[in-house]
Amino acid sequence: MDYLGAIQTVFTPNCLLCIVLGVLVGLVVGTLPGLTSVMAVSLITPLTFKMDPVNGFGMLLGVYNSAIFSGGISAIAINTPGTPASIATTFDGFTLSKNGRAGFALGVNTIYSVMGGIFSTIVLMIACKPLAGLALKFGSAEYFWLALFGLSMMISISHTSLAKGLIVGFAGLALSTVGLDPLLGLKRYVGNNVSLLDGITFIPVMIGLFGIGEMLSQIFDNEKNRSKDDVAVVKDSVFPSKKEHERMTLPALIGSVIGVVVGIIPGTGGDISALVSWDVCKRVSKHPDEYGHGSIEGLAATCASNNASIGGALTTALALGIPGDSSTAVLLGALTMYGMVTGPTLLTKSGDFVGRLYIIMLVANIFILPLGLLLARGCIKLLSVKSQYIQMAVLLICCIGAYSLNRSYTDVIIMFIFGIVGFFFRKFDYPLGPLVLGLLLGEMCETNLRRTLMLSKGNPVRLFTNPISIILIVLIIIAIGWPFIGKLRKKK
Amino acid sequence: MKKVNGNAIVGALLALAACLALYVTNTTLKSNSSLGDPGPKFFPNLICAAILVLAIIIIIQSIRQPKYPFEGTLAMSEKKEGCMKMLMILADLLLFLILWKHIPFLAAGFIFIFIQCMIFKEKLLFSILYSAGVTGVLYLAFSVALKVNLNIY
Repeated sequence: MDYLGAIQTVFTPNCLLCIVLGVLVGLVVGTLPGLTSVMAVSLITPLTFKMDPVNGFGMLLGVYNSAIFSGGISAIAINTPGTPASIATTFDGFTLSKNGRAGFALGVNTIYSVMGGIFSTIVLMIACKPLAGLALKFGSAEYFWLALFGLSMMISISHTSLAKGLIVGFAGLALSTVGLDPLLGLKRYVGNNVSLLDGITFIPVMIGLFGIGEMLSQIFDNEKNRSKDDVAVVKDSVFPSKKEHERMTLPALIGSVIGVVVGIIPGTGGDISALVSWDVCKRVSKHPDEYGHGSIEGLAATCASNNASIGGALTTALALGIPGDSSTAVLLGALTMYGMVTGPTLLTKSGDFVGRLYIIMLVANIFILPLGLLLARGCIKLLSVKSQYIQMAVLLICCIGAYSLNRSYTDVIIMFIFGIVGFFFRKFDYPLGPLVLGLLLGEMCETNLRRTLMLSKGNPVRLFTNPISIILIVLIIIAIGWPFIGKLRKKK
Repeated sequence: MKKVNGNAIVGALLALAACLALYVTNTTLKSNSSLGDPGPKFFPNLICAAILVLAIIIIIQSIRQPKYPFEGTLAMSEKKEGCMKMLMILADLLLFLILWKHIPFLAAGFIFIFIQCMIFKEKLLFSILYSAGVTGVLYLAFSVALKVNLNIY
């Protein structure tokens, strides 16, 4: 991989400006509770199609990394995570803030999020190619099971009933069948609508589910606005002392490692990795009693972990074509729209581009450090803005975002329909992730299933005979059966 | 607010959608199976059958253990207010989508945001300024900076 060329491409004024803009957008979006990183990445994606792919991805990765980090700002300031990845940051961050150390907590959030982000990018750079090399040996049967494995992981950790997770995953797969048949090119469910020939466009679905659906849900919940008194006041320094750094380095490192490992598992994300890291660090800490009561170690571990999960999620996304979470699913969708073939061949066919993504990840994290330290105090002021002002603007941005992707009014209608679907799924406790993953992996699933059957002249036994297929089937059974095992354990 | 067994309703809707999809698949798509390829019907049929079975499971589960998702911690008056606001915003969104196809974006966007301001009971002057500001900024950002023609009428 030509890293020197990648550095030369990324270190151009346009690309650096795009990364900075992305980081700033992510900073605002992540700070405001209710606006998630998935929503931000989905809304920004249509804007980037007018740009050079490297600049576009500079902006997208800037938003993604920054939104995950800045979710911790509101977690510290008002005890409400800006994004789900910062749930664990509230445990110690808010207590520190109440004790008059809001500035310090914001500083720790910035510094150790950057540390986690850089650590995970290095792992991504090392692990992505060997993993993709392994996956290149896969045949169509293994790809079919791999896609189902990704889907089953997201279903198993959906926290709701297994039946609901499965039905939503299957609904996603069903939606992926709209358009042209992938092997024969025959029309399916398109009627006379030419704009549906390429299938249901991924981005409007995401904007509908995560943008419109979320806004409608917030309006329905009729939550009261925060007053200025509810928001923490920052009076102290954002820089920790040398002694405090020494105490936080090991937990942050543990958090980073756990973040990467958890992030690699499809369907997981920063929320799970941060919770696991907090728990593990508490167990190995010399001061476990401090955890949950303003522990600086706990705060550093969670901040490093949620950002480290991004590199992990990108590893499986780039190497295997299986997104680690909903945000990486959007990024994969964006790669497809740029005309790149996702999956293990991405590194061989578009290796230079992937190299640039690594450098963008590093640069985005480096930019977060000064911008985060400088602007975190200012971002806190955003928390007193009335939520309806944001909701009104976001609804209009969603419509424009869905339209501007393909200049297609059909995409806007798709967004509207999935906005309503997203609202009801939230209210009836149906997970959204499996729908997204099903839609993204549907074609991979169908193509490889039918290709395997063609190779075996219709004999399905071929699907179950390869050792890698058997391993993947066992993993799927474990993933789907895990909630039952958990229930049985609880009963005992 | 009336108690609604939401899961049973969603399950029934999904079962209905799966039945409809099965019907459409088997009446409109050609079989075209050859050389071991089960054809374009195969995968959708498989998925729809799975959705149908799962929808029936969800209906049975929800009848045994009904859950009322719209029940929450909010008081009845707050719930009604939130529900009404949401429905009005949804209607406003639909109106915007219709208007957008027939009038310039700046006008449709302004009306969309202004109605929302009225729904949220904002002051008239603020509503006018905010609607014009948001619509104008977004128009400039997309039409001028990103060269996306937002006028689709």
